[in-house]
Amino acid sequence: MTLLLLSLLLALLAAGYVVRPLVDRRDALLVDVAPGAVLDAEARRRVALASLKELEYDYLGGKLDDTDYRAQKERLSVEALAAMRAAEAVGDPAAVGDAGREAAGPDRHACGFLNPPLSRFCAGCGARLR
Amino acid sequence: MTQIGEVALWVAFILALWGMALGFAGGRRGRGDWVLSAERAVYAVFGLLVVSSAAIIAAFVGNQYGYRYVAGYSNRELSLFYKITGLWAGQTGSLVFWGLLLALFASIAVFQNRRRNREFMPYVSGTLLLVLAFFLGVVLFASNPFQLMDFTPADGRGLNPQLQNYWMTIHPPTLYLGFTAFTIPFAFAVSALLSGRLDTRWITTTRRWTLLAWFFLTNGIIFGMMWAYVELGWGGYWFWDPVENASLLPWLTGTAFLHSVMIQEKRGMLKMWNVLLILSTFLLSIFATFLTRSGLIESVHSFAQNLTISWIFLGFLGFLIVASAALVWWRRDAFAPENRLESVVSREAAFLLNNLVFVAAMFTVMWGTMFPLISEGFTGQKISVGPPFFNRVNIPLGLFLLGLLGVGPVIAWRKATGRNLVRNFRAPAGVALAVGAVLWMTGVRNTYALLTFVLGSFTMTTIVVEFWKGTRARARIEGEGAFAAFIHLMERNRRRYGGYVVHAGFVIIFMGFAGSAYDVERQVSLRPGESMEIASPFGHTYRLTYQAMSAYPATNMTKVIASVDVAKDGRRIDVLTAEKRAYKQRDEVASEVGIRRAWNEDLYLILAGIDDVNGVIRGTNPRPLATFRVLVQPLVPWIWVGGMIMAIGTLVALWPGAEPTRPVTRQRVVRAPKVAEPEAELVEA
Amino acid sequence: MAGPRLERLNSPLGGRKVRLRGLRGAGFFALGLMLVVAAVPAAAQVSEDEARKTADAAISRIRSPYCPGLMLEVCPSAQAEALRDSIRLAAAQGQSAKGIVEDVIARHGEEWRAVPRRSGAGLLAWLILPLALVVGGLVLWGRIKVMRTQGPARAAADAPMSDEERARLEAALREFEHAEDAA
Repeated sequence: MTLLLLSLLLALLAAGYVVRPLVDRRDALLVDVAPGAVLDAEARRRVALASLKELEYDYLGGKLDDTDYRAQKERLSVEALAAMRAAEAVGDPAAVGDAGREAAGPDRHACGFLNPPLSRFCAGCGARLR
Repeated sequence: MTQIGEVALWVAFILALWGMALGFAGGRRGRGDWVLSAERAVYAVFGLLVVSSAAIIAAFVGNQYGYRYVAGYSNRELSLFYKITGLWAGQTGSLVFWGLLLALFASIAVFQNRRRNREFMPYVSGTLLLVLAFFLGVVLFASNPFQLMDFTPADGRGLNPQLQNYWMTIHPPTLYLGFTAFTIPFAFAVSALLSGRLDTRWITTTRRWTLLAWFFLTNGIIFGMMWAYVELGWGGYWFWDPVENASLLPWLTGTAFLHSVMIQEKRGMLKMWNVLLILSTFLLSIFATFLTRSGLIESVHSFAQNLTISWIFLGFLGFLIVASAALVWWRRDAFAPENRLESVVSREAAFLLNNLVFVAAMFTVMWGTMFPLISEGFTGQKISVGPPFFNRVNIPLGLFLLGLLGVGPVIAWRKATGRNLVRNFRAPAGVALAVGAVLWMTGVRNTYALLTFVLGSFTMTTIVVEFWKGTRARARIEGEGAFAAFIHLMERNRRRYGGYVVHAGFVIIFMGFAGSAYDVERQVSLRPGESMEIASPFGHTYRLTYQAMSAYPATNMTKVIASVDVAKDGRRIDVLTAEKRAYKQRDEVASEVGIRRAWNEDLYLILAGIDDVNGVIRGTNPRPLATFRVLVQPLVPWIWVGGMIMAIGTLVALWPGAEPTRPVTRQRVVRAPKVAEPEAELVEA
Repeated sequence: MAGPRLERLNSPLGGRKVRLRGLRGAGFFALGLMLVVAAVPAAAQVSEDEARKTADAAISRIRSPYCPGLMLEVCPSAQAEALRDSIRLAAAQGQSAKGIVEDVIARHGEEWRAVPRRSGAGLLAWLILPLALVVGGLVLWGRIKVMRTQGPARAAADAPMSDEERARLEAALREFEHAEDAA
């Protein structure tokens, strides 16, 4: 009898916990706070800077001669600069413009919580957004 | 009450199926509530598996021999420690344990990413729950640890004596940790395929998981070697047993993956190849679990002979292969490279070569392992391949890898300068030749051993030079002192320099393997008081004097112990004991070897046989004739040292701080005017 | 305490299950060999050193029928010892290592051969590594050719960077080195 009750309790607790979001209509975030483009541009910037740094070490470590080093450094510098610009452009809210922010930018709810773009509900207070 | 564990398994199974469906569907339809429910299912399954595992352990500790599983792997006299580890002593329990570890990792992964990588997470949860549901299904329908017998025996059958060993209790869990941890990168790869986001994000996100999985898998394999060495009692540590091979397979592809992801991270190439590698690594992990637990291929590990399970596993493997292949095919246009390969003299090319060797080794080991089955299927004759076969085909590959290990780090990314390459190899090649010459002069003539030491010292030198040059460059660029530069260099490039440390450990392990070319072995029968001599390849001589034989009754066994005096070049240095143990419950006899460890070699003593053992036990025969097998095994201790260095190196690469501590999003990205607290939290997360 | 079970302590097996079929086989084989040995004149004997080498070579090519997964050289079982002794006897008789191996395999079964033959189905086992390397190498070669031409080529910088741009890059690099991990 105790076993039956305990089993029932266990099953109900676990199932209740899992099914609850459907009943309450509580949402998990579906998109990151930062739009994917920002993340990608930022990652590119990192890789470009890291490569440039590594090139420096490789040169000092004697793995490259002057000609190869200069050619690669020039090219990587241009790439890194481009990546930095892209990261800034995509990351700067002002540069995206109001229309762009409307479409893909994060949603601020009245409660002050910054929701991921296109959220149906506010993750801070649960109110319906759209 | 123990039955609550079975209820928990059923609830977990149903919730896993539910969460799997909602995860995949929620991701497709963009339903946040479904996704949240799926993520909660991951946590719930973990909680339920904890309950279930606790119930199994409680049944062991509470001596509930009505359960077939408990009766099969425990008895009243078994110590508490082995009762607790009974959870993974047998097939059914270990499958629950596998699920428990996977659910733990899955919960951690879901929790870590509750605000990051959200496009991936619905499918990640779905994939993780799919694998969990499979294991729970196997447990419930084919191998239930809560199965009751018709009667309750007074006592259990006891635990296999060979499993009553420290290494054996940590070897399987470590391997399982490795196998299960590879499920996380696998799940991210699947979700990258499903969501179409096949850039580098899934790789950088799971980088730490991959390293963790590799860490556990490597250590699990090394623990297994230690177990074989001290417990199987014949002096070997690796014998190409099907189950050992099975654990090596995901290690080989996993290691290839660890290297090739760097090409994608740095250069945006090999996208499809990396997906294929992690898919195969996961599939091979499942395959390894299946081989261990199905007994399909005869081995010293043959713990289980359950054909139902074999078919279920094969079915699941087949499904995974077809599904993964279909997914990759579906996304075949999304793998376009972002860069060209600029030169064949580049780090990228070296990594490609490394991948070729690892994958070729994987195929060879797999082929050899499956060969008895394959040959039986085709010719009707079971043709087996033994350790000599595996050694012959894999040693050359290993040596090639050892050399490549020294070449790779010296080549620059993109395009290395050929002339500089040659110049950089001068010092390592000089050291290698010098080592080779010295060894030759001291009488080392074994080709493989000589090659191992030459290539090993070549690689070692390049590693040391890499550290030195890096430190020097750092000191010059940052204007730091040598020590500070060295520390900062490691700190700032943990994965790279941690990787070099792992390479160094690998080289040392190989040198340890090479020592086996000079193993010395003697077998003699002695009466108490008599001696035998055995010469070490290092020049000294051990003299072993058989002192006495004694018998002790212990809780669940009778031990018969021979004590042997050891003298090295005439000086007495140690007393070794070698035992035979007769276990009461299982009616089995096991050997315990005596090992005298020195820095350069092991003296390994096996009690091979005793005359008139009953006389010894009754105390009527105090001077029985005993047969000893004595081995001198040069460089074996260095295998364990190398293993430890590898573990340390992996930890260096893995330790928090190796990855960006700052969020990838830079703060101003989301910092709109009038920012209140909650965002800050979001951003930092 | 000392039940009949403890008799098993005499058998030097490391806790392994023994196959009776094999036990009897080894016994008969050893017996047969001894008979042969008794019948053959001593002249056929080879030098002790050579015989030991031949025996070792033969033993290292056979998996033990008495210990699952172990080689005959290291199998601790008594039957394995008997089999090893019989092989040494045969070697002392001047039999070649190959001949001895074929003999043992003929008696015990193909599955105990540790080194597959280089003909017939055994050849398949040997072919896999060269095959994997050749096929893998060809695939790799093909891929490298594709990788050299596929994907966007990075052209050299069109215009040289301005000093201001260089300074910005330097600053970014310095910040990158000190504020963030390069990983």
